[in-house]
Amino acid sequence: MFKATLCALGLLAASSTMAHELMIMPAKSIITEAPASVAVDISASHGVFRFDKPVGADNINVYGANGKRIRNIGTVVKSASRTSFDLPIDENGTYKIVYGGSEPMYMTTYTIGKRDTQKRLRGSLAQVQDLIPEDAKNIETIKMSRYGMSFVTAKMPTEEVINPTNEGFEIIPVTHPADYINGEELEFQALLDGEAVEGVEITVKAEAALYNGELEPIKATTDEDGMASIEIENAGRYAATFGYQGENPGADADKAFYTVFYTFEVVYE
Amino acid sequence: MRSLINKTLLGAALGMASLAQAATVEVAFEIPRPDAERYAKPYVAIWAEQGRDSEHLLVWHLQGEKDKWLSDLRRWWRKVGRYDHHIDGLTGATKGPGHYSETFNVNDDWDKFTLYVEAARENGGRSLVKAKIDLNDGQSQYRIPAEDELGDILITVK
Repeated sequence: MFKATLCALGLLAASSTMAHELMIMPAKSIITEAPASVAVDISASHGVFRFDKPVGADNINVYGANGKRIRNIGTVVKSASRTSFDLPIDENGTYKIVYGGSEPMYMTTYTIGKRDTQKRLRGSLAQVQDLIPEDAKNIETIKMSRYGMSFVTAKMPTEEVINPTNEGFEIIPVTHPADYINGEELEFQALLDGEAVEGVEITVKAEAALYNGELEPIKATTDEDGMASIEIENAGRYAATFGYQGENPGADADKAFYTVFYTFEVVYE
Repeated sequence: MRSLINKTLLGAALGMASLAQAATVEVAFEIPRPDAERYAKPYVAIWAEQGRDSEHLLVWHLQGEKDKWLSDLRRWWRKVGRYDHHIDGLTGATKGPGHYSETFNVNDDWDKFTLYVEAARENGGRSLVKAKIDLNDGQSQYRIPAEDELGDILITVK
């Protein structure tokens, strides 16, 4: 019972900070040929494919067709509702745009008083130790790793940015993002430090839901090989969220939550 | 001894099969004249697929160094265009409404394949049609009914 309550509290804390979905929205995901430039908008949003809040420019990383990080991604503009840049595509192949993920975020929660009021502090237990009253109960630290990703392919698809790095929580698009066709299965694999992860919960929302009212997301869960597949009936833009609670949070946390936001385009055929 | 005969027979059969496989197909098709305010000649591609393999046969597109729109021939782009399988001899400039007939030699090793025709027009629609062709079943003509961007198609195996 006690454990269940803790868990619920933890989820509550996690979900309220994760209320915003991270959306990386390239104007195009398939380009005939380099050189070209692609407008990219990144926004932390309450609803899919709407601009809501901008993100910090420092946490944007783009990896080119050769797999290496690109230094020049153009001028990054942080405006009221989004962060934007025109990404120069200088070489043919698949590019990966990533926001966040470099450092995990810590959240420490506790309850206090007769009514067990829940309090939240940003930081690991070690960092916020001095701020927690002596009579606090149910102290718990949650480690959250989250990032957003999206892919752009100029001419032929390449694998350099698709291959796993075997570090941290990764979602590998097994079906290449340049091969997402309506009516065909899209396959993903979830890895944690290179090991397949079972039980990653996948939620896929369609941009079209904004206009047709079909808000019910597509759901899937990874199997023992970390694999999951979904079939997308209609072409369009989609936002997938991959969520997982890790079993070994490490010494500095009681729980670890991993989230990957993946926006992609399904082309019609 | 018996197995030797069997092998010989099998070899003979295989030899016959490969002889029968040099496929020449004629594709007669029409580019329709749609009632469009801003008409642009469509991009057209014809190719054959067998499983994951594809063989390029034809692409008509805007000539010039910077053709940004080739990927609008969606399936052709995914199966052929983006890999540079096609060579210059098999490309041409876009053509206006009319009847056309082109003859191709499809991969000698294929006796069953799917022939695709795709057309995409700026400010217009896109049509993708196909016919499954089996060189061993004796059928010599295949018809594909008209769609928005492609008129009736008649494929003749020679």
